[in-house]
Amino acid sequence: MIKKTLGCLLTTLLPLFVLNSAHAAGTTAGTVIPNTTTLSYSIAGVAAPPITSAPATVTVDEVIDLTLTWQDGAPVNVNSPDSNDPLRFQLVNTGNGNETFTLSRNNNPTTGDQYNPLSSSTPIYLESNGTPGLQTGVGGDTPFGGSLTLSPDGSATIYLLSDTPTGLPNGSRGDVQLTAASATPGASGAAFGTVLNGQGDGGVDAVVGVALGQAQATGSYLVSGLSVVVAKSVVSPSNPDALVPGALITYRVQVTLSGTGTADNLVISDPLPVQVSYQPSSATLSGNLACNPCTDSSDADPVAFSANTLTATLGTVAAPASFTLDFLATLN
Amino acid sequence: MTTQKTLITVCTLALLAFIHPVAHAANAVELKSVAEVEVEVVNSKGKKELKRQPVEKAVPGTEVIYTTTFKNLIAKPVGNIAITNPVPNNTTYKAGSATGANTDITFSIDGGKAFAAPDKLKLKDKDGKERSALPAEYTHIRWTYKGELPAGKSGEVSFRTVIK
Repeated sequence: MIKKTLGCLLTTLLPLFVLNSAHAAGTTAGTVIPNTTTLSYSIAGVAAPPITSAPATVTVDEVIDLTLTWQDGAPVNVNSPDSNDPLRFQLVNTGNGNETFTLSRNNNPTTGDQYNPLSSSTPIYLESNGTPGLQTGVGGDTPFGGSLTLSPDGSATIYLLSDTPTGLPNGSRGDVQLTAASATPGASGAAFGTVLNGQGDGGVDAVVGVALGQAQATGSYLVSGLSVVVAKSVVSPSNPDALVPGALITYRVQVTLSGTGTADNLVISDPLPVQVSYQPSSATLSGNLACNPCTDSSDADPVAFSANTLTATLGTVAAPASFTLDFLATLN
Repeated sequence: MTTQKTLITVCTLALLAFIHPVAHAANAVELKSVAEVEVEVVNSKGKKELKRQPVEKAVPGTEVIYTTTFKNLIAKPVGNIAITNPVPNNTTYKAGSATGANTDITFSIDGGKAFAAPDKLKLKDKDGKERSALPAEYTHIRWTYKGELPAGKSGEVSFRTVIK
């Protein structure tokens, strides 16, 4: 690819150059490199004062180059609907001058995804407060203001914030593409090796590097739709409206996790109304964490009863999963 | 656009070349250093060939050819000619690139204090082990002219560097 591009370059009478990969930026743009040589000699065996040449001077042009990469590593899980979920990107100025870049996002970059994420009200943030991850508000990261300037080898962490439409099925993927482009006039999209006269730092020429003045990276969201539904019902008697005091009621709490993802620290609490009294040691739990009967104390089994509240501590639960908690109470 | 600009640069330098020699007329030897790059051009037969052209501006990674010419301007021969050239700042000497007819070429790795042939330039590693110096570690190049340079005659030495 590069070889082919070089072919074009050569015929345009540009000096041969290979971009230095060890130190991305190379010698800073505008650096003056003088070469002076000294000659000593003698005439008839008598040393004459040495001569120094006028300097042959080369000034380092600015190479405009950049890399942009999506940093999350895997699609970012979102719900449907959802809002302000960040995708994280890193922009690196791999050129040798201070360069200003503009950023833009495309919410519909590919046809391989299932939905188009929506730009949040503040669609782009720059990491600025030194705390990893996106923080918004006072003391948080900075909403992107239209351009950013990076020194040679300088980098920026960029967050794209998206909202997720409602009603999307689990497993739907939505892609967003970020484009970072050099703000130097004529650089973005120009051919490799294009010389922009006087557009570099301090008035040196700017030369378009391998990125061709702009870079794209695409990140993805995945509707994981982890939902935890809790439903409580009376199993018996069948006609609870006709209960008399002292009647035994069987309650059922049904917990269902659907979609994809993992619920952390899942705890089901059921504070009982004052009209009923829990029948000690009546709880049973079926499903992934079963106990029958369950004890009412806080111990190895997940169920505990105290302060008139029945709790089931389920911990980390991956979807899909379901639990059924049954217990008895008497009507006061 | 690019072609035009390069041609203008060539013309300007060509003009300078005519004017410049006067500057060192007071010395017995005229000394000049020029910086050039090689570009591949397509000749009239449609074949690619390397052509040198002066360079004033270049990006990192560019290979720059420095050529020093020296000429005896007096009526007597001059002797003991030694040309010393520091490897320019922000550049790396290109291995094996120093040339000069009728000269002995030596290098320095200590800022121009001592000069020796490449196989005699040794450095000590952190653990005290001796190793040969790398061309990229050369700081100076010296050409020692063999014998005398007759009246009116000239010589030329050259080396290449890569801009870091």
